[in-house]
Amino acid sequence: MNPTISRLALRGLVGQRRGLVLVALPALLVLLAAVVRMLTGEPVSARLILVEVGLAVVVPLVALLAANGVLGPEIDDGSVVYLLSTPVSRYVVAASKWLTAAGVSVVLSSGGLAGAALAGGVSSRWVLGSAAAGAIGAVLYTALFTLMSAATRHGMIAGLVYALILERAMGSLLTGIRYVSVQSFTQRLTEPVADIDLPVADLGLGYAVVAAVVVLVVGVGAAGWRLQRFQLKGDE
Amino acid sequence: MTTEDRAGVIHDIGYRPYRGPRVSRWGIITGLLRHGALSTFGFGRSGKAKVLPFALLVMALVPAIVFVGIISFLGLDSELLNYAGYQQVTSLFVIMFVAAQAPVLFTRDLRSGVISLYLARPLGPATFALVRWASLVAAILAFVVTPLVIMFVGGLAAGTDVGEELPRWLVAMGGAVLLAVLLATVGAVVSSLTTRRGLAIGGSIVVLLFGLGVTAVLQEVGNEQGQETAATWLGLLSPFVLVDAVQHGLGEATTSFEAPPDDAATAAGMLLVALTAAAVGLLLLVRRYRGKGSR
Repeated sequence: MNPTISRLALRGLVGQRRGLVLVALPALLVLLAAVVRMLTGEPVSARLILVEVGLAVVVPLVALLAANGVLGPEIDDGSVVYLLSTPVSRYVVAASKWLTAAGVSVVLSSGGLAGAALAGGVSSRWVLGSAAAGAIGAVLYTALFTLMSAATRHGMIAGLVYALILERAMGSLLTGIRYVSVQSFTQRLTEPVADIDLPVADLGLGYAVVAAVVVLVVGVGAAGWRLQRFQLKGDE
Repeated sequence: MTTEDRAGVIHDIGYRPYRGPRVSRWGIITGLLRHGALSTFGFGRSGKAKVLPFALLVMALVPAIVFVGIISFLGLDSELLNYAGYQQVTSLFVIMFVAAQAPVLFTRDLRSGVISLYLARPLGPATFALVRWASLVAAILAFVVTPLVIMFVGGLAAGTDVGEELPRWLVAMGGAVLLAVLLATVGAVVSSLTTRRGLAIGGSIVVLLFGLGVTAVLQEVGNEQGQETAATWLGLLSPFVLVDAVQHGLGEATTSFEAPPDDAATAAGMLLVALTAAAVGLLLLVRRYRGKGSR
């Protein structure tokens, strides 16, 4: 890990009002939970707000914005060559960048989910559970999306296709998707940690643990490997 | 040597000004419009740039082709061809198309700085911005209308009744135009405000997709609490819900959402508010380009 790279990445991510876009999503989620609770006068449906909106949309999108924010713009405008020409291992570059993205999105995702759970007035088990789910999901998703933005100039779109089309649209139709879905791993890992029931199809806990570790290690590692073979290309 | 010899001599090395035909202002506008609409689909760009728009278009066409197939092979009745509700079925693909392709027109020249060259030309910032917006509208319109046309023509070929289908189809086509205008405005404003492509895509996704989800949840809750009017007006938060409401209220189309307006007056009011919001968005867009042009 290289603290300087992480610090610069953090500044690029949240400096100059750019952090506002990142904060907007969790803030909206908390607001939604609060409004729904105020209108109905009773605790919100944890499954609807926390799982369907929070875990399925907010967590991946925050992770996507964060992971692309640390690497994407530099690759886009070509200034990444100055970073890569420093005598720092590319794996360390990738890991430091990922650390920033993961840190920011863990704070925002688990904070946002827990905040929404509190505002929605669900049981304290769910508050803990949603914070855990947000943190686990953020770490895994950022690893995957860091790889995507290192691998292609269109990392944002690749990540959207993965999170929205593969996991959300097709995952609900084709149950086999659960074996390659970070969403399912997150839910499966959260269940024993926080002792809550999540709507995850049967997926072995052992498989989920192994798959999560693989996503993490391969995601960050392959991002470093891609940076080692980085070639500057023009826009299209 | 005399002084006359040392003085510089201007040689005529044959530079010539452009003496060919010059297109009119209208010619510039149509040229820019065509270029913008085509480059949204990747024409005139690399092969890779065509992959995403066409992949999304194909995915958005699948349900239409399946419906036509069911009607022609199983001979079910034409109620299956729900033109007005089609954009709600494929909303994810439409949103992704807008989010991914709006930055093509609105972020790249603003970021790289070539925009000041464009804006120095006779067209000027305001017209340039509006023409760019119009080309995005045209591209989105092509995206949302194609499945409707396939369903309509396919349905006719499978033996549905023109007199029955045509009014419903025309309502859906009107809805598609409204949807294209609203989505293009959202995409254009979001992408021109941020000069980073990733952020522009993410921002449009947040506004459109999250707006749709939140509206659906809030309408459901509002209905349960007996706040039908409030729930109906919440439809303004998402272009998809709004178009559905207008189609239902003014065109008597079947609705896909929880809280459609009961009467035409409410729907007309919602339409008016939405168009006002779009106009404000366009003003923002023009102001943004004016600011860039004066620099």
